[in-house]
Amino acid sequence: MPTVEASADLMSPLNLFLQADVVVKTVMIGLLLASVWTWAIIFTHALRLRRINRQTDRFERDFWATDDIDAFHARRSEDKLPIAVVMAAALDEWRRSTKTATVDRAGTRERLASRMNAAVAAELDRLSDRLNILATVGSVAPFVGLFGTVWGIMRSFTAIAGANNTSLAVVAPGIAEALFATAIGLFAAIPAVIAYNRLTHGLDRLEAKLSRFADRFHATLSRELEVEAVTGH
Amino acid sequence: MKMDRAEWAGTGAALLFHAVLIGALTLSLAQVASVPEPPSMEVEFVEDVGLTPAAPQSVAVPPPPSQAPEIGKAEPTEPVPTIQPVRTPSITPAPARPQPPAKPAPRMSRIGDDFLKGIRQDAPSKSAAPAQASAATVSPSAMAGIVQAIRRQVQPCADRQVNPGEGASRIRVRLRLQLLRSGRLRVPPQVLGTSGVDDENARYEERVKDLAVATFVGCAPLTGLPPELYETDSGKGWSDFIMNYNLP
Repeated sequence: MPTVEASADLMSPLNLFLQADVVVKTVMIGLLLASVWTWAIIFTHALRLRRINRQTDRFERDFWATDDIDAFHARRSEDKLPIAVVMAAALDEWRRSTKTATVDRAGTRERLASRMNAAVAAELDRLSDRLNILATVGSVAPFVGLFGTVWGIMRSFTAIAGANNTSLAVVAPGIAEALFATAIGLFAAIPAVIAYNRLTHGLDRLEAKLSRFADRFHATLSRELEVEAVTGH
Repeated sequence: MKMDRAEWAGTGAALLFHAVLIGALTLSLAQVASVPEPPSMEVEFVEDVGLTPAAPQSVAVPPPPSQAPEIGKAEPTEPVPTIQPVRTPSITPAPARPQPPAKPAPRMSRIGDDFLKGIRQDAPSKSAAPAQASAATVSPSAMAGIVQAIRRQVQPCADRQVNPGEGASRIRVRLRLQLLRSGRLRVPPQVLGTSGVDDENARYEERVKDLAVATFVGCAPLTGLPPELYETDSGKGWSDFIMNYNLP
């Protein structure tokens, strides 16, 4: 049945794209690029977050198991893990604050807390880079697709009016290729929204984990300050 | 914008994913979507009561083999003659009835052989019967054409009829028209029956019957009817058929 094959061929994504108006084509290309970008971010961030979570758990376990924090830090000094960065910031502040003869314990505690909080915030800021793109694609892509569809339908109605024929065979292809723009928009937007929520949730959990570590480490260092104060005086 | 290795890998994976997806949609999914169109169906508007076309004839064919199971089946066809009470009752039941008791008894034990024999013996008569039937009947589309032609011609007369009262338009009158080859009425239309009569419009029944007859009488002769279908081999054509009438 050649007619059926021809109509199926007509409805293939490639043909729908090729038959579309230049504006609709531009919209489709833009949305496709947005989709590629979205998925690139999804793949990158999802894998990175998973890896970081796994390594953070292992790091934390090793950290609290160790007796010599300085040696542990020396061993993991090259580590780029957020938790390692937080630990390094705290130890750096500790060393700076305690190298003087008189140690301001309250000030040191405050500085330790703020340094670690700053480190956590900076790491999360780094990790959440480009997630805003997901949010943008998720909210804007359907509208862009809708714009392409509206434009395409306007154009096909004009063509139908010119053809003086309103049979379904004349109307359907134009509408189909116009709706294809919305389909691509939704195709880009739906994973973007899902991934944004999912990755944001993952980052929130990581932030909670880092904050817990920072508080616990802060408590440890604070205790150490008191011990040094007792032994020093 | 600087991209690290993981980001390059992610971009590559995304590109690959999209390429595969577009390829799959273009090659296979688009084909799956192409559900073959069902063969176009020819719809014909045929008057529900009228000439007896192929259906009674084809149903009447099974009785000639004269086999018990088929004779049994032939009974449901009896209501068919009610459509055309004038002609069919004398044709179908007559050959059907006497034969069933004669043959089943000796053939009960060897159904297979007899069945085949029956087909072979009856084959010529079987093939002859439908040939006659098809020559003797009017196809549904031709019938619809005739009915439409008649309707068109009597429409002006029907439009002139005054509706006697509320509910009268629900009354349907079955009329038997007997026409001459010239399109004139051989005899005045005979009212075979009415339907749609209820308490509300019962008093208009006779009036509607008269109006129905008047409609056909007033617009006779009927012209433009296919002369080759005036009479067929079995005598059925538009020379004598039944139509329904109701007020506009």
